[in-house]
Amino acid sequence: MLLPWGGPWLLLRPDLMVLLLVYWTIREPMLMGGWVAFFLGILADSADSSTLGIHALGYSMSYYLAAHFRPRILSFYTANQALHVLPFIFVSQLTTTLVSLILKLPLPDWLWWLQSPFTALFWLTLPALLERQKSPPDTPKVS
Amino acid sequence: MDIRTPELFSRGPSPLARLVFYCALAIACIVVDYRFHRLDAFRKAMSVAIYPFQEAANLPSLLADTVRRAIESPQALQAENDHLRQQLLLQADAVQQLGATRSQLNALRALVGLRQEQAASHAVAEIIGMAHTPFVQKIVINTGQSSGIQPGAPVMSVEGLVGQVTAVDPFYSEVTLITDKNQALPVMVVRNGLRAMAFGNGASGTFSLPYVPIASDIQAGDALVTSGIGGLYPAGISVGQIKSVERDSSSAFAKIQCVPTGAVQDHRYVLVLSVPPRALGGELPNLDAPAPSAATNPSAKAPRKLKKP
Repeated sequence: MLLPWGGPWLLLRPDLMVLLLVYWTIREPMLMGGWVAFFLGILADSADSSTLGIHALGYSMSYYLAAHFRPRILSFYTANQALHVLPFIFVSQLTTTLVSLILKLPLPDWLWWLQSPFTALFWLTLPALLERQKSPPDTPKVS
Repeated sequence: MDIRTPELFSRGPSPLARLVFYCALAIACIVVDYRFHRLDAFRKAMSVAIYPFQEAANLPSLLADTVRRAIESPQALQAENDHLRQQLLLQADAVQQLGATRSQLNALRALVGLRQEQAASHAVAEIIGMAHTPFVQKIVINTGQSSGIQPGAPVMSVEGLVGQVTAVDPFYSEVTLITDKNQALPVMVVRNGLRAMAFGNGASGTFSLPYVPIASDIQAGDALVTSGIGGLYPAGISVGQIKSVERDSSSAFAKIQCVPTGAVQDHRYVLVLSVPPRALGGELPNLDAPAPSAATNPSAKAPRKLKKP
């Protein structure tokens, strides 16, 4: 089936773009910048054919929060990091929702609010997917 | 994990100033796009730029689908084939009668001097995606400008009307479903010919008829078809069914909720009809205005109602 996310699942579809944005902001802050977040937001808007700028606004805020709290987040383990990243993702979702409401678009079902926790769950998989696995240290040769 | 700090002495404006700058830029974008529609060319260019990425992202599911089809058992295919043949046979009768009826109708129209009905041409398209946000009810189909799709074209599935093409990119088009908040279309009750405007409800996947007087003869279960007013949607395409009618004496209009018949979740292919030449003279569809059929035809405009005696 070409549309794996149907019905209520469509509302829960994780926003992987913001997740990756936060991830790379925390992991490679030198590569990321406010313009990356803004540009990704514009891309998301044109892909969604929603009003240009809605996601750009949300992603910019998420980026700022991630960059600001980076040192704190780096001091946690992955599961705890997921909990700390959740508010950043939620801020992006809240912003897009509020702007959409201001533009007189209808509020989706309450399930929509579960999108950010659902997205944050995917944080747990990121280290395994995106980080180079550490090779075991070389065993000292016995001469 | 990498724990390098970015820079000891960062140059340039503070992060907060940058945030404010980008937020202001985003808000400016929203205003310019929403109010003045000045970013359409930019949006089109962006959609071409991200097209290869979208195709690449669709590749795994496409591959899985191909594999699934390849390993599907011949028995199941045979059964499906037989079923389709039977359906074709059942429909052949109706189609042949339709041809005769249409020529009769056109002869009668010619007698009384009415405009001839023109058969719409169609293009089959495949649904390749849905909008990522739940605020808009849109699907994306895999035919675009290169296949001659025009903005405003009605789109239907096997069961009935699905929506209308609202944006055409070189390689794909965007279809706004009839349940979208900004979508409106002229409909007619099959049982008694009562005409009304249908407006999408947005999130809940239903639509409503907000401007039907409470005294109208309309009830739950009534089937709705397109009325053909406005000239864009051909008359007689199934649209939906009335789910509930609430008559409140404090309001002049009944609260009527309907469910669409042409659900897109279960389908892969849709039919894009051509835009009739006379509808092209009007305004192109614009998401902020009600449907073009309403804009081009004053008699279809809510709240004025056309009611048969």
